[in-house]
Amino acid sequence: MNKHLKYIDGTSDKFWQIEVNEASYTVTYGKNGTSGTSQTKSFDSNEACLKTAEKLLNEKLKKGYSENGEVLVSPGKPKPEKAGQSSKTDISVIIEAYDQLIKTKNKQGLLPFLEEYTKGNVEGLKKHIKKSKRYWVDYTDLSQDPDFKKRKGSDWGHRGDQQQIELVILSAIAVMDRASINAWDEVLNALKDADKPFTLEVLQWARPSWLGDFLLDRAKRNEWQRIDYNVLRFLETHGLLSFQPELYALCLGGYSEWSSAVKGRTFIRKVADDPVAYERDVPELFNYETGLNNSYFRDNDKEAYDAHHTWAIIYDTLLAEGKLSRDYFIEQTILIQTKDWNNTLKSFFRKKMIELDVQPAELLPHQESLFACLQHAATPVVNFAIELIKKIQDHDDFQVRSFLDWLEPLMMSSSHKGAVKTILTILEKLNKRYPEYHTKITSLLADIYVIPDLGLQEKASKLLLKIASGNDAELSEKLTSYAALMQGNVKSSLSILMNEEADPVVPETFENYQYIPAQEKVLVDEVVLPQDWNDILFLFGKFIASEDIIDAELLLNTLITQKHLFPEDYSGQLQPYHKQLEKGYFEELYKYYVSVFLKQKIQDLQMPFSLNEKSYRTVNTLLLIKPYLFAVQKRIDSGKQLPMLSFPTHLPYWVAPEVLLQRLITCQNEGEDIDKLDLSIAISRMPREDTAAAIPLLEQLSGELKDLMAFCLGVSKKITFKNGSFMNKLLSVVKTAKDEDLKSRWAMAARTYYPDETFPEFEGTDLESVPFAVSPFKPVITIDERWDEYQNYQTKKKERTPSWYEINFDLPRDQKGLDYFIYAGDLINKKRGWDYGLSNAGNVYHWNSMMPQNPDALAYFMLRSSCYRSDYGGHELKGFLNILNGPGFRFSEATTLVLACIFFQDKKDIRLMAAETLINLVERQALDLKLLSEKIVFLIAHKYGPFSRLVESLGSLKDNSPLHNAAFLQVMENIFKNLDTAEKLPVNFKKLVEHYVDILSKTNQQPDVAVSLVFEKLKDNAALKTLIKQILK
Amino acid sequence: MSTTDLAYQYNSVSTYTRENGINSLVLAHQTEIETVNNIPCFFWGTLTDPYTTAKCWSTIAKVVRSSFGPVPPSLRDPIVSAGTERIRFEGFSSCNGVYVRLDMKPESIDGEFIASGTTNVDFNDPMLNALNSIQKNEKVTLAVGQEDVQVITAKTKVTEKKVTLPTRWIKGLTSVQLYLADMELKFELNKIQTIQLFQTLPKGNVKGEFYITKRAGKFTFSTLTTADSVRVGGIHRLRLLDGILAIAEKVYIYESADRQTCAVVCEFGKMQLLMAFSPDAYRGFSGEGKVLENMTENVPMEWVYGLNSLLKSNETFDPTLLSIEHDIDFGTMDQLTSSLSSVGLLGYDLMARNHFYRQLPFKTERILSLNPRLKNAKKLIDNEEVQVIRKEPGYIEAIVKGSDVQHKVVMDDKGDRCTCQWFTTYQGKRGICKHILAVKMVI
Repeated sequence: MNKHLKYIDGTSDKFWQIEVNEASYTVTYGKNGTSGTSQTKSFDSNEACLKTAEKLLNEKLKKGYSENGEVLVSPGKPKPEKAGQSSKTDISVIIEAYDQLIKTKNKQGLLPFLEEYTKGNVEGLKKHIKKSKRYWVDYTDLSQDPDFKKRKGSDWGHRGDQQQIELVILSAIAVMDRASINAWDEVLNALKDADKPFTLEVLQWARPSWLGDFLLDRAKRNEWQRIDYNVLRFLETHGLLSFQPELYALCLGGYSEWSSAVKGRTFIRKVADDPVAYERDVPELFNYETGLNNSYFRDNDKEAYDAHHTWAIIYDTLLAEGKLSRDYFIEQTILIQTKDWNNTLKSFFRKKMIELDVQPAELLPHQESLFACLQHAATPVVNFAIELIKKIQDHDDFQVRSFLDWLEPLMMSSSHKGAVKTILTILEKLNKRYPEYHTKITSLLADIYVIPDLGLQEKASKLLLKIASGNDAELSEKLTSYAALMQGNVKSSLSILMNEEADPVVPETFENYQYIPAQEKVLVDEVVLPQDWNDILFLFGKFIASEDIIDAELLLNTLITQKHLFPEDYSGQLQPYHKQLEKGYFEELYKYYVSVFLKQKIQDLQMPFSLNEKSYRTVNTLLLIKPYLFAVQKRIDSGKQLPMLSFPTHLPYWVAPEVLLQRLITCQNEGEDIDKLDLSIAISRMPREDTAAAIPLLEQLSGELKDLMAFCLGVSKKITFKNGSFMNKLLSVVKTAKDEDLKSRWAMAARTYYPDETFPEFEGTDLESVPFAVSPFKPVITIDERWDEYQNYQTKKKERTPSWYEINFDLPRDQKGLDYFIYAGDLINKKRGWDYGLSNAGNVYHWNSMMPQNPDALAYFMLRSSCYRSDYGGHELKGFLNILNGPGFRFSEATTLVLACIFFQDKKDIRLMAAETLINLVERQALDLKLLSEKIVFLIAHKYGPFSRLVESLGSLKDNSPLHNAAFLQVMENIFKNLDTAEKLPVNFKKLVEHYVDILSKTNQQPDVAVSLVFEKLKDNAALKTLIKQILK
Repeated sequence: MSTTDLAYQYNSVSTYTRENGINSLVLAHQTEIETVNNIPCFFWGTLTDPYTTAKCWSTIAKVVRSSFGPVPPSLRDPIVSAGTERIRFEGFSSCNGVYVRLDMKPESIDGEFIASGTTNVDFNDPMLNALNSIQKNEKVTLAVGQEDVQVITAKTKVTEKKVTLPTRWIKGLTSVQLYLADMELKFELNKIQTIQLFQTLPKGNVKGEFYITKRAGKFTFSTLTTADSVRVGGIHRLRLLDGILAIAEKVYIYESADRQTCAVVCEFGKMQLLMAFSPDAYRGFSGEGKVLENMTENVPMEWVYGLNSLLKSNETFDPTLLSIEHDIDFGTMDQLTSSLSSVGLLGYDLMARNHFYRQLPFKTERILSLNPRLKNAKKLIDNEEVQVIRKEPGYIEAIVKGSDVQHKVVMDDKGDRCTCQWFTTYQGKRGICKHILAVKMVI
């Protein structure tokens, strides 16, 4: 069978062709005059193939395809009802009629139109309605269409007015099928008016079969797209919709007063009075997850928006009036608790049920379902079940065996400590009442030792010692296997119950923690330059994708030293990257500016760099990339293939001393200008490593530069800058461009290699008032209470927000620092704001790459901008932690304080990472714990953040190794010794004391004398009493 | 014409009923493959451990109705393979990032395998509600498919369910097997270690990547990577395991060679549940290019049909045996194994380290048409937009037309590289781009 059909009308000019070849056919279709697209399909048999092919052919014929192209409508199978004649009207006539309808807003005309024209023209009409929707209904730019502009000041709007939109949508509902109308949100609005006679008529004429599916799809997708329940019922009564449990449940539970035409009280009455609603639909609310917990209303404007809860009242009413069985409600409420539903929804039902004051007799039939709740992950669910079980556990019909079966996983769960505590008392009672379950109960009690909580473990021990017998072999075996998990003195207290043959508990060896500020070698990985053009080409891609500073540095360097590798058609080859750079936006400032630079170079290597773009961040240190790029341009212009002084020789950003000296010598010999910024960064990036190879090269340098580099290499510690600067200052207006003043480079070197020392040499110079120049910047840091005030709109009174605590310190200067003494660039009195912060890790890495040997400036900036509050920092803190974790990081007062602050941060992922970093640093003994404790005490004392966050962070040190335990012990003792405990103790202080007791016993140490004194004073504290007894025993 | 989503309709619904103290679960099934669709019933029997089985089903249901990516969650029914004394359930989250499979070993079921095959089964809310209430020590029967036409009483009248399966979903099912085959066992955790590990699972709204690390005999989730830690992207997705961790006897952790994807296998003795996680919450298995490299060579269609007559569902696929019996070269066989996975004929059993046969309930043509990168690459070739500039041993350079730019593709000892955005963004970590693919197909 071979057929070639065409379809030519006002809007289309296309063909469709089918060729059948035994068990496969090929369909080709497309615009007339083209070869079209082909698809071949194979079948198991020739018959099956032919059958399908004929079916397809018939479909096409039905759609109006014909062999000569004239649009025909197949006479076959006319639709049964609908009075209209089988029409075969020219589509353009129909379209005109349709447009006329819309233009004249002829509502009454729609139904007659549909009756007359729809049949046989569905496809054409569908297409035109789609077009009309785009024209009349869509929100679009009307600036070219002044006739339709309605609102002043806005070019955007709808062409159609409300009636026209309604007409288009209704016609669509009448004509379209599910697939083509699926994306039309407007349909929902139109259906809301289903009770309007005009809408109803059209709906009844069309009887769209997709209505239910469409509505359900919407209802599942968005809560706000759940159609009013009353509308559903209306459609149902008129036979336009059949009952679908999920749809009805979602819409019923989705009632909200503000979006519904019905007031809250009316809705409630309606549900409570309508048997279909409360018998058929309300029970479905237990089967599907709805949002009924969010439905509030108010009776008048004076009330708060959430004055009354719609469903609380409905359930009260139904239960009171006996329209919903109490037993059913109880059963279902328990059953939904184990579902994966929104917790507030489940909590709504829980609360409701508790209000019912359920009696044991009502609960007993559902006890198995209650037991199932015990294995749920959510604490409120478990607690709810336990509370109810408490009510029935002494009843004769209580299924003890089953209850105990369900308990095991719960007994090991650290997230349900409260519930476990309650279970202890229940188990004690059950043990008395049912001696036959004795071993089962003690075995369950033993599982508690999996939970790392001293208080709970002690309670379990107390009970076990009371009820367990020493000759229960299974129990002793279990306890022995848990021995390693027992905290504090628990292990020794239980010894009579444990296996005696097992090795006597060996206290772990104590390994004292000592801070060893290690000098790690940093010149390890050499930077490899691109080998050929391909490497350079794909380096552009690497730069776009990576966070490593080196990729940018490498690219800039190729433009200076490897231009010869660029082929003639470099620009063409690089176009894909140009496009990507155009499209992308980089949050990292250096990447942003480097990409501007690269875009220009891709277009033309010879073009000088110009900068019109501006980034919105105003951090001076990060903006140094701008002058640096101009320096790069200058070097390119010089035509000399000399890398920048600060171009790294080793990953990630180090410059080897020997190489730096060679670069300086070449510059000097070739008369090349030395850029101040470049030299500043180069010095800052040069570690005093492998200096032996560099020192002999000093001889080839001359003048002040030689002295400066001798200082940097540690050959001499004499600072010998030319102090003619007083004169220079006077003459600064006429200062020549070639200023040989290296003073701030000297200051850079001094602060880089001697971070903690004072250099009186800079006193009396213009650097005197610059932080970090003469002496390390050590401001007085305070933590101050802050709050906001606002007016309560109901009471008209001023109210205070809860307080928070903010880190502050004074900054000496108002404006930018001296040229390129880069440590001081942002130690200025500038307001913190969204533009003046780091915001992501990349910016932190960039900053650090410019001054890796002294991160204090960065730390102070972070204290001001990122962790000045415990609920403020973001990704940049993670970046900082990464740096801190790297080799060769220098800890100082400021950097340690930042680390301490991070332990208090509200973002859990950041805190977790800080805890990990702590574990790592302790392992390498790279952290001064005394200093850290000091900072922590400072933050605790001034309520910087919640104490529990700190305990959680520090607690992660426990049980990693003897060294970590010793470190933890040291930090805790430092905190106890230095914290003013006479004042009110921080909330959750007990948690830390529990850790202390545990670690003391684990490491087999005696408390420090000073710490003992502290606890001696706290002896009468009710919460700590028992713990302190163990410390002071 | 773009591939459209597959839409199908069940003839009935799955039901769970309780009569005379016996609970019976009847799963309605449907497949696109006619011969399988006509099988009324695959299995009928009782569950030997109904509580654990129900918990696993609930976990599968949780997975198939969850979404962690930009795709809104909607229920995707799981797939069941019955045969060779085993029943396997497979499913995917709506975002295609979490794959779940329950392997029910012969000990877990006591009954009769009437037919072998793979099919979609209906998971509906009322049935899941009922599963939720299965107690320990109850008797539960299971039927995959049903022999008699279901009697619909007035009370339980339910409308027929229509389901659409997006192509991404089907594609994910095929590519995840290749990831599984690439995984190595990293850790084996006993009950206590499992509890301890999951006690360190960050609570609340913590997302992002974490590393499972063993420290001092204890397993923890850590934010920092170490040499032998296992990376888990989108950590919050592990919460899906909540319901079964407490009852698992052992937990095994696997990781793929590229350290991108990982899998957790919970062992219950009579059955095991596997959950595999894509590299990150916002990435699905479907987007990964793993399948591509196997698809450059076509699997002969007669093989697809041939296998179906050779093997039963869930039967171990032994390439060596097959190649000896049918005189096929071993090398071809290796390639064939991954090709067959890519077209949805093989699943991979991590614990047993072998492939098993099951024909996904979709037409092979559909699966073959799924890969847009492959399709786009073929289009590039058809339109003659691939131009090989240099071809020497160890070095190939080509120009491929992109949208208003020319992309350069280089293949040498430094790997395959391209200047397009896809390659730039992922630097080769997510399979090859269509340009490299096209060049590979040309040379």
